[in-house]
Amino acid sequence: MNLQLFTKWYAKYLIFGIMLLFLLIVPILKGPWVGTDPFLYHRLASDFSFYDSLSYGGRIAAYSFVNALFLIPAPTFLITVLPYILGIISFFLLSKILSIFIEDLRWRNLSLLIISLSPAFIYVFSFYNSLTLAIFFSILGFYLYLNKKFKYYLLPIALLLPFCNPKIALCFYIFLFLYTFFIKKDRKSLFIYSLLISSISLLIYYSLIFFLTGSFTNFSPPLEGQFLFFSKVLFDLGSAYGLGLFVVILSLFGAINSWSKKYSSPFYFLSIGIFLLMSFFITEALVFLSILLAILAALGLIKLFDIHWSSYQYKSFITLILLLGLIFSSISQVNHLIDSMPDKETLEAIEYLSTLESSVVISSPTNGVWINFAGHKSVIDDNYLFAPNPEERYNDLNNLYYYRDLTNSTNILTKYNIKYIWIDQEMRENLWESDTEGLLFILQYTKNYYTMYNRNGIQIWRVNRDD
Amino acid sequence: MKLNRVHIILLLIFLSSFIFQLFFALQVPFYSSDNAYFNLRHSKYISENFVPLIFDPLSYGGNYILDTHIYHYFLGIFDIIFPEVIYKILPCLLSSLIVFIVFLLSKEITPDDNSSLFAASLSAFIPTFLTLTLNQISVVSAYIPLFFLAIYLFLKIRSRQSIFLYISIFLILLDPLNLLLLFTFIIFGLLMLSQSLEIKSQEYEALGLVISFLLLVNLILYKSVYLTEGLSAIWEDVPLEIYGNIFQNFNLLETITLIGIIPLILGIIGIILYKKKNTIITLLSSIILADFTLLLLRLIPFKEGLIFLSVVLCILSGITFFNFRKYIFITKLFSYEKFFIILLVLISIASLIIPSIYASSSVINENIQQSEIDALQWFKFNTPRDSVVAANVYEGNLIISISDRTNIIDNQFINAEDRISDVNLLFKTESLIKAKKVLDKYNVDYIYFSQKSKELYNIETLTYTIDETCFKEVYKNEFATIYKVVC
Repeated sequence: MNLQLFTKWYAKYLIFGIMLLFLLIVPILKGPWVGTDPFLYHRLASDFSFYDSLSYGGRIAAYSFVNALFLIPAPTFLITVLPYILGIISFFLLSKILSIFIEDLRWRNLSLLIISLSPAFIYVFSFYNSLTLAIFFSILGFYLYLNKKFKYYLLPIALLLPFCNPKIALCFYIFLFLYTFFIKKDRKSLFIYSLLISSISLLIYYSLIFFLTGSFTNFSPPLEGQFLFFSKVLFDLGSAYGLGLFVVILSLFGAINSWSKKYSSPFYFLSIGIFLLMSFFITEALVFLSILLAILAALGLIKLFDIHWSSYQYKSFITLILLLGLIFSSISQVNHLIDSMPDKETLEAIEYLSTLESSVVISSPTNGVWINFAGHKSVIDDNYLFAPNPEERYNDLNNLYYYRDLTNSTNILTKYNIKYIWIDQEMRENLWESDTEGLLFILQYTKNYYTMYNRNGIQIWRVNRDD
Repeated sequence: MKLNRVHIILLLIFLSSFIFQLFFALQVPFYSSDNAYFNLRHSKYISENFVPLIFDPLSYGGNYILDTHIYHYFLGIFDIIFPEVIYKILPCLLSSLIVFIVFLLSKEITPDDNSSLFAASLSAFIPTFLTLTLNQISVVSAYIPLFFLAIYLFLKIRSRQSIFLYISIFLILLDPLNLLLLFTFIIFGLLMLSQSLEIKSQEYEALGLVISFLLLVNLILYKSVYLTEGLSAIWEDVPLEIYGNIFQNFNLLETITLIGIIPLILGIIGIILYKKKNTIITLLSSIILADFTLLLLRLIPFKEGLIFLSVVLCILSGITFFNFRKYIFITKLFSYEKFFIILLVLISIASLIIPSIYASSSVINENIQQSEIDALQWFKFNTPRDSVVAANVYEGNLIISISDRTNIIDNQFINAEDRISDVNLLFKTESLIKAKKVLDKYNVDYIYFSQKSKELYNIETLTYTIDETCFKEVYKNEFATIYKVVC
């Protein structure tokens, strides 16, 4: 393998082609409906309002509303093409940003390639989610910040960014602060202005929501399983958009080789350290960390090529393993997104549900957004921030799921005016051990319930209340 | 190459180890573990179809088997040439090869041939190695010699770079979840740096190769398990209920018993007596440290971990032997040197051979018995082909291989449904309703109630089987009773 390839004129286009290819696979094979975010933003964009009449039976729409705002002109079309377009623009912006910091064309191109292949980049720009616009704005904002001519265009972005994703906004400002503090001290005022704009707008927005809802709630249900540091940070060990293991290995190699320059580039090393620490508490910081580590990984790869090898065979083999490792994480991410929920069966069930008269449906919190998308009210979904009594609802539903007491279940069903019950395979596996436990027993052996839909492991039951 | 006295003695040690194992292995026509039948089934499948059995329709009623199948291909190829007999001979041959490798490694430490021969003779009869490999078609038979061969080649990396590359790849593919090689090399690197010893560029490259390839293979093979289970995938998705049986807590007393007191004492003395700081001793220390770390973290099956420890101690015993000879030479007992040397050799070998004979007899006579095979074969000739048989988790492979019937559980836990609590309930409960629920859940047609299940669950009978409207005793011998589910 000869790295001379990357200094050829077409190297950049080749990398661009690879990036296009990886971003296209998920939209082509799975479509835009990955996870819950596209459903939420599509629904909000189709009928934009600051009051959501379906989630939690009706609530203040305390969501990252800018994500929905950008889809309003043509929700279905934009939800499909917007992530892709933003991905392409982000690629070019990153290329421009890298050209400011890295002179060596080979290093720059390799960094760009590793960023494009990173699980985080593929996750952010393969489908429309809460990170897509926020990351795009962060990259655009940083590019504008670097640019002398257009630097004040950062201010409108500062206004929008917190409403795309407040956590990404926090990461962005930490990054910008480090850059300003260590490198561009003359941009201090611009940094302060943009930070003020973001903070004040966010403060006004949330004060308004607080005023309207009357209380601040950010309930989080008890989570099961292991939450080890590595599983949170490394994509290959279970993180949704964490770091690829081979990027980490290469970046360690790069760091060892450039350790002597740590005092000449404190901004870079400190940023990596801070984002690594932050990623344990704020998962979104992993996207920033992925981009930063890609640069170090590219350096590591170059050093691997440049050092003297005692055996050409070893050099070829290790390089092949590392490149395969890099590509493997990308393929795994694509594969993971294609296999993610909702699957075909769930989409069919959503479609069926949408044909029924609008009413209240209960299911697990993750299914809540899909229930809303089908035009029904949910008792609970996983948007807990400023939701009305999420803990009470969560406990009520757990009582309903686990107890066989008919009076108890009837009371809960009446309390929330529930008409349909959605039970899928995941709920069966997580909530019950057998088919005769709790709610499943009641559904099967009492006369008030009948199955309206029963396909591919998904059941939709109708509740016939005597009242 | 001309054969000299050392070569002939070494060959004799090898032959004695090989014949010893073969003698026991050929005493019975069957194999001595449940896992042996897993390997047998997959190797046979490969020799007949030339492709691995990825989806086993009989395991769990249909289960994806996550295995590199390298060992099965290796056995399968020989099966085409020498069918049947190869499963008895080849594992014995492979595990006996350890004597050559121990000799070579010992030679790297002591310049004395006799000391290396002493170390090799100790390694010929390691009780734990025999317990885990004898007549069991175990991958450990191939893994242990290959591991130490890789270590030897690593020491000779300058002249053996290509062979090290191939052996490492083969070793990693043979058992990708075995982290010992990775830990050994990481600890080796750290020890070398801490002792300010120079790591050669070839050694750096070798370390890089092993670490990166092991990670890649693990990610490719076990990606889905790592995604769902995180790092705990290393424990092969073993259910908690039987985790303790495989990944035992480190117990010093049990360790001494299983390794053997003489190699342990001689090995420890050897490492104390060796004053030089060099690559070989650092590497052997790294294996010990890595092995202890993995045993303490319960990242390696207990008995498997002890085999590595035993082999290293055998190698280090060579140092003690060498120093003992040197010491005798400078004392007044010099004229009795031969007597003392022979005495030491006899005591050492006897301390290993006696437990080895005991361990081998136990493996051959107790692990699997003829009456067990008879009971399992009864299924094959007397039940419908699509029958589902319930047996304990350690008999699952026997059911699918010998009986050729579907089991409800076996030790291929990765990708499989977690059924261990249901199976435990089936054997422990006295309630017909609870048992029937489990039987219905897995469409069980027959219950295989063996002596092993009695010991495993500490029960004498399956109480609920007295209900004759639901269970019919269709077969009984001194080892097992088979019940047909009729309701």
